[in-house]
Amino acid sequence: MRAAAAIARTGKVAAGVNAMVVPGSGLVKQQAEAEGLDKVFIEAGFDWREPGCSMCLAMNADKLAPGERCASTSNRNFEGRQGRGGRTHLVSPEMAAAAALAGHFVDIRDLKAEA
Amino acid sequence: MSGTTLYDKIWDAHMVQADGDGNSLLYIDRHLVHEVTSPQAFEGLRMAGRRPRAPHKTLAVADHNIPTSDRSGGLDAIDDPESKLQIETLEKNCAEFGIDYLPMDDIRQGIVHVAGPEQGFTLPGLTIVCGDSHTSTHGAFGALAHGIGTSEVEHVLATQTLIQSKAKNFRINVVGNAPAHVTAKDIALAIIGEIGTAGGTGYVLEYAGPAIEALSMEGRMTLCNMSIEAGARAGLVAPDEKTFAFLKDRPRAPKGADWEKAAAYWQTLTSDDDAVFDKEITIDAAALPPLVTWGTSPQDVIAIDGHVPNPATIADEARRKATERALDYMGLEAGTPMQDVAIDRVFIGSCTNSRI
Amino acid sequence: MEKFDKLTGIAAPLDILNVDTDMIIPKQFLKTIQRSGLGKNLFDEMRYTPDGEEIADFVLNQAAYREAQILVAGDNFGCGSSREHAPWALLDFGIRCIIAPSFADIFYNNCFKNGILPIVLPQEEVDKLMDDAQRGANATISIDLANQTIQGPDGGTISFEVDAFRKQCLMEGLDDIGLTLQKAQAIDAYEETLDAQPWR
Repeated sequence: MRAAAAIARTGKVAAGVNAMVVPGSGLVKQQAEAEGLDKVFIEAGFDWREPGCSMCLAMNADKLAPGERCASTSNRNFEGRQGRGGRTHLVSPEMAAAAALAGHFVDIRDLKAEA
Repeated sequence: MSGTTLYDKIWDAHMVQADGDGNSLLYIDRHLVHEVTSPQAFEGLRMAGRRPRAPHKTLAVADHNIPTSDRSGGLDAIDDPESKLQIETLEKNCAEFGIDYLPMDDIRQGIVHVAGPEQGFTLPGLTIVCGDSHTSTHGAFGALAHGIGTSEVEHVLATQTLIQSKAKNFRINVVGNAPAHVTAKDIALAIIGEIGTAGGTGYVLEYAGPAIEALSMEGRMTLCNMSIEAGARAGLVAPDEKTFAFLKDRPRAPKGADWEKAAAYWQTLTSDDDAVFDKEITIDAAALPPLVTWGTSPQDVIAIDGHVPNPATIADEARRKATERALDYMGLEAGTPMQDVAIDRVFIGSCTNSRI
Repeated sequence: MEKFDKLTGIAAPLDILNVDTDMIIPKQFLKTIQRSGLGKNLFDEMRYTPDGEEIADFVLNQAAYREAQILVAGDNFGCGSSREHAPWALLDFGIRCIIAPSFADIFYNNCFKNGILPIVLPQEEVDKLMDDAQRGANATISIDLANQTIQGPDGGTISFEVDAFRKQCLMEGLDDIGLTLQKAQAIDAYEETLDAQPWR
């Protein structure tokens, strides 16, 4: 989460991209907020949520629409895992944050070299 | 006689009875329960008039279908009646059977595989199970941890044991220093890309080597979490000073003299130098790029500077068909640079990557 | 649990690798607090359009396979989530036996707890049964668990391996919790040794 925030700090979520951050527990959320990570994410245009499994398996209201493409830090890119017809690409948190800012996948190594 | 592996040691220490036909009764130290895979298990206990054998060894938390939006309205504010019923059912079952439950509005609430370690419920050398395949996460602490089905959840509640046949040993050595921006997630994806999603079937994985030692506990959890995506029920990392530092003073970790005694025991939890593994591979972390998946299986990995693969170049018919099917589902053209692939959504979270 | 002894039924071909438990029963059906009633949603996203119409090509929607009791499938069947809803959905549909070159561990285990027999066979033999299964309603396969044999529609016999304890539980429909509770003394004795490790 800290690594993703370090990337989020460098820009804004691209137009047309919906990005969310879901902490793993109440304590992770509390720690992140103590470090100001929530503000970093929110200022960059990410949604900062309550803890849970969320869109990893889309059992709650957080899910992909058919055809939507998602950069996800979860563990399964099976068909329909994040919502029927949803297209999942598994990546690290840093790569997910970088993709959010660019609107497409980016080589995080290049991004840093430029910055 | 050759030495024993970390997995062998934990296995042997938990053997209640060997049944001679390859199955053993294994003692379970810790059981994590969530709302989705437990209702039918509690119902089974009720129907049979059984009680949990050791309720204090079980910890319950709702995580799978709780809303991640504003929760100030509590349970009553959950719109989906089925989600709400599952969570209510868990609360009732915990109250009826005397099981500790972390309520939705508790600061300790979270994904079971995040909350367990945070509470010190997860400790080295223990056997830990949960009705969730990502229980492998807890292997980061040198605990033998794996997912079970609902019938087994009921079995563990009733008997505090599981009937198990022993898996084989598979060591994955990750050498070299991972370059900047190559994370535990990338190492996990690289391993799955290398051995395939069935590569670990029938094995317990042990992750070892300097690149693993260099990982934080969070990184080790990410790595062990995805053992199941490689087909292995469990993955292990031998506990070390980082493990002990993470656990010290956690609410459920041992304290004082018990801590000292436990820590001394935990130091012994390593594979012997002359331990024999049924399978072993080595991966050079220094050569790894950041990775991304292109398909519908976690083994469909490619470097971020790579291109969408071309099914026409795959000789094996079943694999070619699977690749065509995946590209069709994913809406990707063969040969497209991955960096040209535009996205609509970003999700940072899950039991793989939602820690600090 | 229903006993499994002999089974003669139609085999449906599902020639896909890595069939995962999300495919078998998608997450929106995991909100039930019961075991029954999941058969209608078995393979839901492959079987129905988003409007709930049947997808005609999907194997279990074809007239010949609607009553299938056996599935013949590709490698690594049942991978992914540990959800026991997957075998519950298969059983509720009427599937009692799955034949594949390999299974994911947790799913394999879950089958036995629900009276479903998963059979592992070498790829060549699965290929042959897959061809047989393609013949539709004529693809009747007989399974004899006691003798560990499969008889194809042409009368050829294939042998298979199965763990002796699991075989016994299936054949007698045994509840393994009941069996383990008979070993309570051994568990008591083990628990007494835990005093040496108070953190456990």
